[in-house]
Amino acid sequence: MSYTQPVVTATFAELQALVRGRLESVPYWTDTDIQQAINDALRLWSWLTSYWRKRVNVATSSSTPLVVVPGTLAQSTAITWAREPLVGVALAELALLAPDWWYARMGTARHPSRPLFWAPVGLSLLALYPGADAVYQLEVDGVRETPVLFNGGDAIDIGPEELDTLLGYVVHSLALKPGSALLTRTLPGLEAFVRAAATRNPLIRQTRWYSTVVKEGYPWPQTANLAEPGSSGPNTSRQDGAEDAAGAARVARVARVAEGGR
Amino acid sequence: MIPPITDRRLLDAVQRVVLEPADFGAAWPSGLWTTAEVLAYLSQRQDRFLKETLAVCAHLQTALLVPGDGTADIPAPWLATLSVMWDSGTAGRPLLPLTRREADLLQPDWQQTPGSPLGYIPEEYATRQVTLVPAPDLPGFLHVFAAVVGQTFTGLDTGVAITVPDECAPYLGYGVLADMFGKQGRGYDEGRRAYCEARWDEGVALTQALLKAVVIS
Repeated sequence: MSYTQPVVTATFAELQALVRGRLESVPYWTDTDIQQAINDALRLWSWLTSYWRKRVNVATSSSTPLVVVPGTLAQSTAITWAREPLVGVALAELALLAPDWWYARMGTARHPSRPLFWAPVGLSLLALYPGADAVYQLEVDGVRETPVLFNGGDAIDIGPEELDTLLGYVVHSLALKPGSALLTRTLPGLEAFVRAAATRNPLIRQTRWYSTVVKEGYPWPQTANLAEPGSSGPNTSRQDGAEDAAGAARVARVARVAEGGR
Repeated sequence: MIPPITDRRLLDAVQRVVLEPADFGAAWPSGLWTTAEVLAYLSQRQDRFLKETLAVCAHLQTALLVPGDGTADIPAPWLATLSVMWDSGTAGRPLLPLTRREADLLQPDWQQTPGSPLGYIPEEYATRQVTLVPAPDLPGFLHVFAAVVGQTFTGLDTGVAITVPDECAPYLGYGVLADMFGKQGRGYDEGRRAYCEARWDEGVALTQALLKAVVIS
C-alpha cells in the first residue's frame, strides 16, 4: 500500500475554469477578480502551511551575527553550515544558551569552531551562534516560494483534495464582492480551508483562535446584518429563512459554550 | 521574477470588492472614500500587523549611554520589542523585561546603585523609552530587536512595495476593507465589516503562531 499522496498539476486556465464552474453562469466576476482570488488563496495556503518552499544560500558576514533571508522562513526550517545541521532555538533561548552571542565569533576563545545554533528574529532575519568570522554560504532549507499564476499555462502541483479545498475557498473569497448573504452560504469553504491548513500545520490547532473556531464556529456572523447580493445598505435588508435558522443555531451554540457546555 | 505586491495593487483589489472602477486606487467616483483615506487605512493596518505579529523584525541600536544614565530612547521607527540586549562594547547580555514591582523585588537598591543592567522596564515614562535596571556603571548601548514602522504609501504611479510578506497581503486587504465598511455613512456595512475584521483577527492570530513553527517540527 502506498502512502504517497497523489498530486495533480493544475494550470491557471484549468483553475479559472473550475472556479467558473462553481459560480453562476451570469458573469458577476471578471477574469481579473478570479485571478486575484486564486492568487490570494495560494498566498494564504502558502503562508499557513509552507506548502511551496525552496532552499536558498545566504551569505554570512563577519561584522554581525545576523543574516537576512530573502523571503520568509517556512515551517520547520532547516539550516546547514558546510553540510552540518544547526539547531533552531527561539531568540530568548539563544540568549540563555550564550548570553554573549552578539560578540561570539567562530573559533575565538570559549566559542565553537562553527555555528551551532540559529534563532529567528521575525521571519526574514536570523541570528547565528557563534557568528561567522568571514563571508560563508549558509544553506537555508525552508523559504516560502509561493506560486503566482498569471498566464493560462502557469501551473501548480497540489493534492486533489487540497485543490478542492482551495477552490472552495476561492469561491468564498469572491463572495465578499456581492455581499454578506453569499458569504454566509459559502462559509463552509473558509472553514474547510482553515481545517485543511491546520492539518498540515499542527501549530494552528494550538492557537486560541482555532479552538474558538472549532467550538463555536467561525466568529462571524452571529451579530452581522446580512445583506442581499449587491446591497450596500445591510440594515434594511432581510435575511432568508435558512440563514435565520443557521444564525439562531450558531447563537444557541455560543450560548451553550458560555454556560459551560450545559 | 514575481513583482512584489504594492500599495497600488492592493488598492486595485479593494476597489474591485467595493464596486469602484479598478484603476489602482487613483479615483473613487462613488465619493464614499478618497485615495488618501484608503492609503491611511493601509498604512495603519500594515503597522498594526507588524506590531501585533512581530513577523518582520529589524535590529535597532540606541545612542551611547553614559554611566548612571538609567533611561534609553529607542530609535524612531520602533513599533514593538522582541528582545533587548545590553552591550558594554566588548560583551553583550540579554535583558529581562520587568515591571517596576519586579525590578524592586529583583534588586531593591537598583535606583541608587549603578551596575551591569539585568533588565529593563518598557515604556515607563515615554512610549519609545526603556528604564534600565539598574542604571549602567559603564558606558554602553542597547541592541533592540523590534518590529519597525512599515513603508509609507504614496499611491503614486511607481507603487510602494508592502513591508509585510506578500503572503499576508490578503489579510492586509481585509483590514483595509474593515475600516472602509466601518466608516459611518452610506458605505457603512456591518455584515461585511464584521467579516473583514474577523479575517484580520485570523491573520494576526495565525501569524503569531507561525513564528513558533519555524523552529519546531
